[in-house]
Amino acid sequence: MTSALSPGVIDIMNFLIPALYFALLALALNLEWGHTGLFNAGIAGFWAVGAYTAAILITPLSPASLSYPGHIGGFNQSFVIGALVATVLTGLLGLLLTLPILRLRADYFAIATLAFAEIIRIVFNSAESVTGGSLGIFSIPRPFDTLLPTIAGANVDPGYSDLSLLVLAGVLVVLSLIAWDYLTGSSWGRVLRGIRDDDVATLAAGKRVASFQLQAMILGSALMGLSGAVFAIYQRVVVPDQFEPLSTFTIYVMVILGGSANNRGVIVGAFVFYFLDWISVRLAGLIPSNAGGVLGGIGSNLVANIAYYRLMVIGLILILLIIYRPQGIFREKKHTYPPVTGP
Amino acid sequence: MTEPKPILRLKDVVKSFGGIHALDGCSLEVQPGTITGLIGPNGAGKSTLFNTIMGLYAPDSGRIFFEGLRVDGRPAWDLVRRGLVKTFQIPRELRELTVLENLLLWSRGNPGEDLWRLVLQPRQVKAAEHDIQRRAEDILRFVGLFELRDEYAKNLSGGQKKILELARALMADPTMILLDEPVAGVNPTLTTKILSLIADLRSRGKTFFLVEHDMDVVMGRCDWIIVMHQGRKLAEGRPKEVKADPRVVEAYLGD
Repeated sequence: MTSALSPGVIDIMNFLIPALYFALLALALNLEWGHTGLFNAGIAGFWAVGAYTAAILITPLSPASLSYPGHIGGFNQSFVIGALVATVLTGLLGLLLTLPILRLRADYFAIATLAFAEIIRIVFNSAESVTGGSLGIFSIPRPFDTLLPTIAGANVDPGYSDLSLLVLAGVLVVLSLIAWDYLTGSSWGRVLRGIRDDDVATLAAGKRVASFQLQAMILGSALMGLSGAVFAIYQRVVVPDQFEPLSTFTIYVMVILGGSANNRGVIVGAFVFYFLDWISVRLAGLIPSNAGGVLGGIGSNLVANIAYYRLMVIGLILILLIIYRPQGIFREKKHTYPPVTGP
Repeated sequence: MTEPKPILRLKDVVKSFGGIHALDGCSLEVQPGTITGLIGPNGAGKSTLFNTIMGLYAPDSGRIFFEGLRVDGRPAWDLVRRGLVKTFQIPRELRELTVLENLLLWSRGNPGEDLWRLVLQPRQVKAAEHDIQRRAEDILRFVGLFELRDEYAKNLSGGQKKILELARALMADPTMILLDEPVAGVNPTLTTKILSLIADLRSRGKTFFLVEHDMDVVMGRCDWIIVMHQGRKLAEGRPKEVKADPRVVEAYLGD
């Protein structure tokens, strides 16, 4: 398929868009874990609920057949409605899940949220008539495609389709960052950081610790849901396998790498980590398929298992970063205030 | 003239950990406007008593009244809201917050901690925060930590952390402060300063209830002393009376 935009540009946009929805997840986790110290290990679950909610609301009904179980739908809503409902619903889910498990110690809180995410994934896989089962929901429409120029009749120009999504995702990240900076820089955000440092002392400071933790979980979950909605229209398909527990820990790596409790830092962390992943796939693709035979021995082993070595190299880079810069690329910003009284 | 009503009253408070009765039917009263000392041997239940009063532990039985209102079973944040604060024996500074931020967090009724008001009334929030910061700066000057206001609390010395504990408590503008060993490990100069600070605040109507092992401090500064032993009140009285009480001498003071 030809496009008005060059393949290189499209390629880079297909790096930037996922990096942006990962940045939304990293921002969300940064509020819950970076600022409040809540070890939410169920990111994949909230992401999945957001993605499926948006997908069901905006995707036209696919008829059930022998090879496809169908899914509920036919709501024909716009992306705005789909994303809004996904955000609100996931935030509400954050409230409902957190309420009963908030009194758990940090490690048990993590286990409970991890279990929640796995339950979500397994339910989405099994509730075939609702979610399409393991085949998922496909042909999810992108919001601007109907407005875009077409090529060869019916097909939307793939370059402009990606570009419209890139702008949308970019705007969402910028707006989220502005909101997050305002909230975390406020007195409200200070209470969250107090809870992270010592929840008992913060309780003795007269703060309703549980209430603040709930607020952080609601807002964080909601942003994860919004990220899921962007993910759904970008991928054009949602299946349970996309929401494995590993994706949760990828987000933790992004937050730690970029600088926990630094909103800009975790966005950079999302970009850097996803770039490592993205570039290593491309570098692996550059190696000619006959290179193994030419190199022989260790060389052929390396070429044959390039996918695994790729992950090892990423792991090594992360280990070095944690050793030599444990606070992340950007450390947590010190909150200082110019004196309001005289010297 | 009628007796002033006690600001704090405990009636038969019991708190056990496993088989140990840390508080074993403890009853006592603290009068408003006093510096009341709480002494007793290690394991007498002093810290447990403070944590139970503060709502950090729920008592197994018994009743606690603060300013005439029953408060046992209420959470700590609610007691702070009602004007009762406590400092920690081992300082629990919020490590990654600055000294100033530690104080700002202790202020009561900061509208900037309310998400709705933060979004809907940003201007009122700003004005209130300005006032809170001014109060915090005044207190920091008062206790001599102003120069260190932008330092992370974790970087303070042990003695400075003790002062930070007290400064944070003052920031809440409480009517009563529970001090758990306020001058233990603090050098003599700072100790004098902290003690004169407490005396000064008492003369302005605040009530202090403090645990302290330094007998010079307890006997010299307190108006009233309560002696605890094995989870309950053993004796109480003016410093001279307590010092002369043979039961107190046997249980705690020694020869």
